[in-house]
Amino acid sequence: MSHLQNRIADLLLPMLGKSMTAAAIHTNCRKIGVSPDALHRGNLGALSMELAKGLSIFLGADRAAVVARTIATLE
Amino acid sequence: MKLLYLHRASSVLLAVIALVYVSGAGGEEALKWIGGLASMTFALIATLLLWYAALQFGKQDAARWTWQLLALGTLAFAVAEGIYFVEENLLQFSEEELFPSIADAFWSVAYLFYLAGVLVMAVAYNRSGLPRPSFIRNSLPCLLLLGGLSIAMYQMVLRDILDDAELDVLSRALYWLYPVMDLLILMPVIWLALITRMLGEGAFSRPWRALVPGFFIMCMADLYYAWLDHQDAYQTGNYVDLMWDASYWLIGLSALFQIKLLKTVQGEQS
Repeated sequence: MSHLQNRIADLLLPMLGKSMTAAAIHTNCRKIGVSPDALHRGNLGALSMELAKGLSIFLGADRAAVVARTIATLE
Repeated sequence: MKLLYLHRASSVLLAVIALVYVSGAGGEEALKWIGGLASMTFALIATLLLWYAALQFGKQDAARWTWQLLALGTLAFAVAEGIYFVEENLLQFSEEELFPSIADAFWSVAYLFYLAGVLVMAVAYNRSGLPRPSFIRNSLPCLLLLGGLSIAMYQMVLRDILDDAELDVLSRALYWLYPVMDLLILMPVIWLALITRMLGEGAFSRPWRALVPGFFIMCMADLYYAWLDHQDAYQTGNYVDLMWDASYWLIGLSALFQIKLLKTVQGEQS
């Protein structure tokens, strides 16, 4: 697992649970055309936008956007 | 906070009513009054919680639509329970006058709201980009469950209703409508249950952990009621009432979990 993948997983884990977090990262990385292991900061904007779509089902668009911004600015 | 206390009070009420049902305290007449009032109360409390949960979302959020539709459905159930209570206890309607009656119009509408609510959630989830349950792995047990229930329902109740020449068209249609709507609602509910399982211990699963059994118990209660009613063995005060009360209580609890989830996330973000 890459460092960024771990950071995203740490953020999503309390909300989505273990298996859904792993699957969500994997599915959405594939959508933006990058392997989860090869994630770098340049991909985070696009990935966070994709993840926000899923999170908005449970949190609403506004709160999901805040989580997405956190993901997009991960170091 | 007030909503939390309201739901806690309804938990105590549910326990007390269960005790009254088990003990039979007050006799048949008292059970009819208590049972009728209890169902209406639980449905109204759930409506309040569901509506408040809906208001926590933005106007464009699919989740707002889902919770609003569930609130409207539960309100329709509360109105139906209220009308039935008045007809049965205050106006002393006979069995024939009680079914079908104006209450059935509200019950029918309630199912449509519920079906629309869970379908909105299912469609929004499908479009969300989150992983979906495996169709191949899950389709067989789901088909067995739904198929088994459908066959059991047809064999035990619906076939006899088809053959019953004394029933008018409206009664026959309603006898069919309720179990069919239950089975229709069960399909997206089973799908939600599979997603809930995928969410595991994640906080997002909590509202659905209450909502899914709430719907499931309601569907089972309806199917059991259809059988009881067909045997002329139902009147308010039967244990099946407790299943409906428990389902309203669980549906209200799911809204409470959703409200708490959003408040927690909002607290962490600010």
